[in-house]
Amino acid sequence: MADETLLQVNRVKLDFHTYVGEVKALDGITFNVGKGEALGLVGESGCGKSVTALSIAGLLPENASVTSGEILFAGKNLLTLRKEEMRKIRARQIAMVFQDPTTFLNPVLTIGEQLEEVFLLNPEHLAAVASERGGSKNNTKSTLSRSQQKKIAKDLSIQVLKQVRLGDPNRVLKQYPHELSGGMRQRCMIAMALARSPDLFIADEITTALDVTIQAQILELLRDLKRDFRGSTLLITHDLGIVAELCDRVAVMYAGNIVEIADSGELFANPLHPYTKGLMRAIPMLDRRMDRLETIHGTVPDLINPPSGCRFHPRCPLALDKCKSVKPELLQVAKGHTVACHLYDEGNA
Amino acid sequence: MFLLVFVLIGVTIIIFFLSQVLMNPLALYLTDKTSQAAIPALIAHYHLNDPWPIRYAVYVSNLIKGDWGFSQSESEPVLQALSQRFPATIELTIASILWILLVGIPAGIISALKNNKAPDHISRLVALTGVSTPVFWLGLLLQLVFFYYFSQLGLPHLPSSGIYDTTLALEYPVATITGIPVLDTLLTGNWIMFEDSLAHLVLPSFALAFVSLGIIMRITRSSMLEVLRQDYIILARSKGLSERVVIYRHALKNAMIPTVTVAGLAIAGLLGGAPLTETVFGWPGMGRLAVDAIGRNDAPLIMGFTLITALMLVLANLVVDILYGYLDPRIKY
Amino acid sequence: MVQNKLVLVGTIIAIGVLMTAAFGTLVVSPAVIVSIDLPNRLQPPTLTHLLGTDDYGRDLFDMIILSTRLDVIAMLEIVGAGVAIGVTLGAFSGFLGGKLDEALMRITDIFFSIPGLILALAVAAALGPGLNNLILAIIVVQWPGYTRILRGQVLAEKQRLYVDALRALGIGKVGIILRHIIPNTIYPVIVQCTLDLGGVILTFASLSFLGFGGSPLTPDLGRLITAGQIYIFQAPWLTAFPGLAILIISLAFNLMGDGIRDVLDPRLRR
Repeated sequence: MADETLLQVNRVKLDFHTYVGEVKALDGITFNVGKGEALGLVGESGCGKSVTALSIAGLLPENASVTSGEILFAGKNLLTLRKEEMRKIRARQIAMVFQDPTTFLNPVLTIGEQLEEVFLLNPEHLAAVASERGGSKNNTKSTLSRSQQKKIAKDLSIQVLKQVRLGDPNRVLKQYPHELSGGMRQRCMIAMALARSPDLFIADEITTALDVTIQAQILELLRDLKRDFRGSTLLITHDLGIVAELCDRVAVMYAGNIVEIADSGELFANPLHPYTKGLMRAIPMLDRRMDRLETIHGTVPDLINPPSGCRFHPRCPLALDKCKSVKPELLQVAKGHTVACHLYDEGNA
Repeated sequence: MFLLVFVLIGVTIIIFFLSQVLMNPLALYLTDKTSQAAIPALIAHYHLNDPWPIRYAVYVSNLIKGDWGFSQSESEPVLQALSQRFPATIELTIASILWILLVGIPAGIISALKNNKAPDHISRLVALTGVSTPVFWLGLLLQLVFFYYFSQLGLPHLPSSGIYDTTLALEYPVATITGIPVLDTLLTGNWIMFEDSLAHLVLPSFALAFVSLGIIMRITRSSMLEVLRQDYIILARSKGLSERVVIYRHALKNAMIPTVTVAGLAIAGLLGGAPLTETVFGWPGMGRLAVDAIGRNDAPLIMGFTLITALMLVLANLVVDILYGYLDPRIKY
Repeated sequence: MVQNKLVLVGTIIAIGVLMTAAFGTLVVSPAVIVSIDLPNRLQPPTLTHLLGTDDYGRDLFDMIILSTRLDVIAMLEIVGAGVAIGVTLGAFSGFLGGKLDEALMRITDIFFSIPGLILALAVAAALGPGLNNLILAIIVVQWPGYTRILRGQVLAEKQRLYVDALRALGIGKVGIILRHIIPNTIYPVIVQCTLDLGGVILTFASLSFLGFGGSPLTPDLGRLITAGQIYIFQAPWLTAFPGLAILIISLAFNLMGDGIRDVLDPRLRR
């Protein structure tokens, strides 16, 4: 599936500066996303999944700083790019969809305005479309007038709205976000991402804020889109069901660390890290009788003063002495399956 | 809309009460030519001896017909006296509004973008002082500095009073199209007087605007800060839009919403400060007319002035409401 | 943090102003008002006369101290009466509700549609000259604001369970309003009235500048400026200093009001 790597995150550490202290949100994470593959990033709330996504897209808030590591994308280290270059990458190559379509859409602009502006950022593409249609040889952006660009942008907007299964796209273009339902708004946000035909599509908990029935609809949409989508996807979620449906590979995150990476099927069949095992056990099963839902003992750690060594050790039923002082590295245990746990250190497994 | 009409009615009731109940009702309608013999006819005409509801109805219908009473000190009907001075007050008020829009709002935006740095502290200081400064005192000081001291020092100076230089106007007569000198001179290409009118407008309009300037600055700043924290700004940035586009297309429209709601209050402040400013700067507007009327005990004129100011404020609030509806598509009327 | 220092400075000055008003006459004799010293008229600030002298030779500093007294007393009377009226009307109207409440709210709407200064001007003109009439006029402008604030609070307060309990015990409405509702809802009004002090003194000074209010024998800061403006180019201190005094007083009370609001604000979110 993934012959080449599109995105490589190497040992990225990130801190937030707050009034109450330094929050060590990312503790040296490493993972990659291959071309054309869908990687799921799972973990509980607060484990750093969204922060990871924001770091990749260059959208971190003022008080966050990456203290070490690199994020390699299409041959460049995104962390060292100038703002202007990063902006161009966001305009063409990396697209992100967020969790809450109610707060993430601008209430005073129409859907059309918010969608067309994405197309208008890419005049070369508009010119290409124009020349395709016209069948003529002028394919430089300077020959297209502003109004011509807008017309093409509008047509493309209607096209992409159809792609996300929104009925009556013409009408939707003229509507404001508050006039649409939650599911429709989320489809619009997805449309805005697809509009760039991005190389990397990042979905940050995009179904979490929706009703269960709408969630299912969006999932179905994503499944269908995946068939035609030729780019890579980074799917961030805490819902293992979504992972099972849509992801080729999965990375499990806990308290700012990647603790396990495996192919999707392999992870469900053979979870290795104690945390992953705990997650799997906590899922209610339809085919098994369960008297009580299992939980992972303890609570998520405070990231201002995180536990030493392996951050999971206070809650781990299988913790060794070593786990309290030495942080485990991601080691390959089987083909395509890596885990960061001292239980699997050479000689222990 | 009903509220509007109701408020207007209410205002007329208050003025009716003040002018007809607290004071001698006849005082409103006596002209300088009314003879003793004519008084009974006058009383009958205005139904001044009838029960209050009838008197009120007659009063209001007369207002609508344009009979706002007679001003003894100006020797002409109240409405006429007021409408002659109306353009001057409008010129002053609009100039002040321009100060607020062109200085206050941009200053607020810059304060927000440079949060907690020098421009922000300056604007906070200006806002705080503005709200505590007596308008008339500020006007006097401006005259002292920009007219007197500047001319003493040989610097180019601004005029201290009047709406334009009447002596100069003898050579370059100012046409009367709208009655607003700045507009009229502009429309007729009378550049000498245009410059002169503009020069006369600077100090009074600034003094009047100063109080509200600070308030609008701070509101724009805080609402801009609030908006820039919103999720949809993150989405806008994630689309790869330039920062300029994010601020002016996505943020500003949203940030203006709270500012516009405060605008009504700001305009009330401008209208209230007009009498003081016009008095200090010898400005031939309605406010100064009303103030002079105080000295001359011309109650009908004062009442008429109050009524027209209330009307202006009600209208201004209507415009503000419409603007609000335009900015925020979630509001439906 | 800078803001907190400002509030502190403002509060200290405000207290100083109140002290001046209360005890000013101990330091500066009211006889100054009638003491005429023509040879020394219109003197610029010197060591003997710190702020200069006016057109009657009176020391400007003394005059300002005496005038401050009047301004401050007027300010307190206006806000005090406004609050008393507003709280009473607001509490009864909000608690009893019904047509009376509706009517009162429409009346306050009307008052809000006339700019404050102008309404005060009109009322003062209608009532006639005199200091008390001026104070009354400004009270007329102030009460609607407090009424609305308190009514809003009362509407929320009367939903609370203890009100039902009191009614079940047989306690009459008036008793409930006076002894329970008002004490519990009064905080926002207190905050607002301290914020208003600065504005009220501006309105008062403005109107007295225009000629309303006191007489030459009872000077206030606005009046000083009226007298001084004739000499503005020869003796600018006569206009500058009284105005500066107004600014400082207004600023101090505005800052103090801000501080009080910040302190009481957490309590308002109940």
